[in-house]
Amino acid sequence: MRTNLLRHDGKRWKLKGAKPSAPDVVLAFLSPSLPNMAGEFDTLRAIFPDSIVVGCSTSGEIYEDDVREQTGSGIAISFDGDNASAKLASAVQTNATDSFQTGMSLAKELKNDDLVGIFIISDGLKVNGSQLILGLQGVLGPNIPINGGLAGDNADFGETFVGANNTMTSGQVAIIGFYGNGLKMHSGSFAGWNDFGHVRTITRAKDNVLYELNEQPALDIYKKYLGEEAKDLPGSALLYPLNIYHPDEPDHDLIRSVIGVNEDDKSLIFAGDIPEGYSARLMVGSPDNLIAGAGKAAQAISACDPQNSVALLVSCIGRFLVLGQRTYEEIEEVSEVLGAIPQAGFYSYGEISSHYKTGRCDLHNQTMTITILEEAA
Amino acid sequence: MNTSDLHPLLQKQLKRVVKQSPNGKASTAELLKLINQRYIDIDLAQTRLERSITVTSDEFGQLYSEAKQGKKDADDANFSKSLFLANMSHEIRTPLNGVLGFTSLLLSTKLTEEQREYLNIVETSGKNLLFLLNDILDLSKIEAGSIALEHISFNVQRVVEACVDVFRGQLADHKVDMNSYIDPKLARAYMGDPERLTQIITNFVSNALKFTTEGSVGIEVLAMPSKNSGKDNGLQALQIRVSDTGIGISAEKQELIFESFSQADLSTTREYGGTGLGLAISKHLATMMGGEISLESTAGEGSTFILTLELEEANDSQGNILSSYNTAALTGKRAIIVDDTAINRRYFEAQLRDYGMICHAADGCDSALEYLENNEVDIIITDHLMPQKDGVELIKTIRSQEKFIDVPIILSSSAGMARSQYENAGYDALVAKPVVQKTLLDTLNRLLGEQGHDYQDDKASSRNNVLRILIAEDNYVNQQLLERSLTELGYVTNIAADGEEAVKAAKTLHYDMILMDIQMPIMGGIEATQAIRALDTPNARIPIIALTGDAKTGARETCLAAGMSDYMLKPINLTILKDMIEKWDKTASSQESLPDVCMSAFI
Repeated sequence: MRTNLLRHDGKRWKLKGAKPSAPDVVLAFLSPSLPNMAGEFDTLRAIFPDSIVVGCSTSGEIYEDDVREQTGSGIAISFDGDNASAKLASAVQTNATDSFQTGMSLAKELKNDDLVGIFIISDGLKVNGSQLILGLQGVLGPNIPINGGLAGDNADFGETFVGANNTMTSGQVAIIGFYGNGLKMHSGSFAGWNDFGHVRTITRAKDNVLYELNEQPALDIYKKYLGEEAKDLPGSALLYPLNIYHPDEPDHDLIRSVIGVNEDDKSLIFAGDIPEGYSARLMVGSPDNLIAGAGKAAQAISACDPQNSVALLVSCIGRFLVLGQRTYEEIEEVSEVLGAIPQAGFYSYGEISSHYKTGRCDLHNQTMTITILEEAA
Repeated sequence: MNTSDLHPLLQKQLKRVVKQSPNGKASTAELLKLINQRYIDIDLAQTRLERSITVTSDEFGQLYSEAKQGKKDADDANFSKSLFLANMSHEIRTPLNGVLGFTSLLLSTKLTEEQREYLNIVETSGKNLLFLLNDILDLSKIEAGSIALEHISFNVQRVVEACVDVFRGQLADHKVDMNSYIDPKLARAYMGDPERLTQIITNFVSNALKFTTEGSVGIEVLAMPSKNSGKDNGLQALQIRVSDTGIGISAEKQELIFESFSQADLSTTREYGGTGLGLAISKHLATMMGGEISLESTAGEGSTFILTLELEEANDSQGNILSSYNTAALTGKRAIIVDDTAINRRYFEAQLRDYGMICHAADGCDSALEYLENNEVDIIITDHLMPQKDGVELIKTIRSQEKFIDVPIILSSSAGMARSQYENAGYDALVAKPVVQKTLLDTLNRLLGEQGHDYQDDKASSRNNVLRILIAEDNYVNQQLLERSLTELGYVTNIAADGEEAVKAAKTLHYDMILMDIQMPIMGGIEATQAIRALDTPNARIPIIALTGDAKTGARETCLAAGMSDYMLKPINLTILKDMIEKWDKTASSQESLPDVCMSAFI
């Protein structure tokens, strides 16, 4: 496997190393603050006309062991052997309720006996990630690794864009399937947030909107915990995600970030489904614990050959907001564990990975998620 | 300080500062920035931590007070419900007693066979309903905290014998033996509530009988070492053990059975009947007495229900029974007990040893005969129904031997046995099972040479003149029931419909006793009693017995303080009423004076 890191400094793309002729896959993570984000993506498509070129808007770009804003980062992956290949499937959807169907139909396009794993780059606001994954699993079964992330737009929660061999579009889902016994896909995901307060039951919720915990308005409870920070809602709620789990399966706990509030009905809008009847507990993060958590995500991955591997990092905007100036420390923490494996990625509105305890693929918030693609030497 | 000694995170931060610095060195400003950021992080973390602790503890506090209030509300609601239930069952019992009382009176009139059969069913059904109501009433009274225990002088043996008598009739239909043994150390009088103690033992026994189809049920009362052993604090610890050879209770069900409304198994209720409340009530009563109930049981082998409690010794020589027993003639006499049931043998042996006798127990005819071949005895006591060879056969075998022709033989047999059937069987005395101590002692004394001591005449007063009783009661059904029942018992009665009428009657006519309802219109029972006690006629000194539906603490004291002689709870149980009348008739005729408590009313 040969990889070339890509970097956009606000003016133009720069390629690390000798330009590959036709890489199999090019991934690009672009800041919506770039003056011409969509144009910069099209430029890459023009440079690599024969490659699968997939990109998305971000809430922060990861390049090597650092995090940047208002830039672009990316990676071009070229497989060496014949037993490795990639295929793109994409769809644009206008209605989030179609997500399950979208997942099913894209999975059908990609399904094959030698499918090793898939990497998703999806719109972050118009797609219901939980439903998308369920649709994919419905066709692919539970054993195919599903990884990836949802696009971001800084921390604005306005509109996100995904390009998939076409112009960057809102509402697009791009999935790359990796095939052949020459490839392996590894992943690790960890959060590092701390639970606090007592466990409540989600008594009223629909899709990703939470109305009541223990029959009390969810927003009232949040405001109580936020104290003075309540005046900075909804942004400040990102610092207090919710840990949810089915009462019968506390091990498969999922973190959900607040992405909006509705003062009228005192509800909270989350970046993932909030099922009624689940148990819920508030969480709070400290920079040190989050940084250590990122390290744990990396440690969960078995050793790989750095010459023939690439690491795709998807971390959460919520972590960025807590870590602030220290965000780079969590990337460094990952780099330290992964060593010389080239890494690129982005800060997102949702991470897709197997669960750190149960191993089941799911949509996460507030985690550092690492996907490693390794080609046999 | 070496960089490598620093915190790993700080090392990384420094490395980055150096890396980004144009001259490869960390400037003071950059270092200060790092330190500053650290302080900001710490402050923020501290603030959030404190707030989360505050909010969490507030929430737990709120949850706690909600839970506390919830519990209080539930307790209050439960209390009101118990109170309602208590009142309700009481209200239902009054008309039911009317039905039962008149059914009983009707049964004593001339009836066709068919009418009698129907009436018997009415009576049985009514009684069952009354038992049920009594259980519910008791439990709800206990839960509403409105039960008051008596604290009067009583004798444990009388209580046990009364319990045995309750079941005597029932045992005739059972293949179950019943026996009782009371430690002679407990023969004196104690203070307590004999009625409630009877209730507990009766519950144990009826439970035992319910689940025992054959074998035996035994009541054993044992003196225990006091908790404060060595100190003579006037307290006696004792255990009342009711054992059976029934179906037993598995370990997991044992915990359940003392709970209200949870018989060990719902199928139990269906198969064996009963409310399942008896044990719950007993447990409550035991707790109120300062005692406790425990259970030893193995499924399939039987159960032993144990009431452990401490009783205060009464300063009352009347209640002391055994001291008045004459056992002189029995000392040193040799006896053999033949009984196939181990519990029975044990009880007999223990009793005979208490009388100073030397005792051998045999578990069947063969072993008895074997023993008799080589040993002399002064008396033989044998069970009637035994496997292989029964008692009558054994007696025949024994009598056929020359050396045993004159040895007295007692046959103990279940109550149902027709006496005439075995008149020529060769025994000298027949004692009906369950054998009570007095009967056994009297029989032994009779057969071994001396007369049994007549410790108390059980029969009604032998006075020739007929007892005249004034009934002060406003409720028509109760008036009729009391009047007819008392007439049936051979007493002469008058009815006063309220306190004023009662006082008037007491002024003009002679009575031997007054039954006084407490709650009556115009003049209540308390006031009427005070007025009667103040009269200048012999009626001022006759026994006045309060009839009240009020079992609350202090009700008894109020009655006694008003000058009443005794106190009975409604609904009236005719047997208890009869005993009460006989007791006070005897007291009045023997002492010709009122007890102290009544005298105090004159002062």
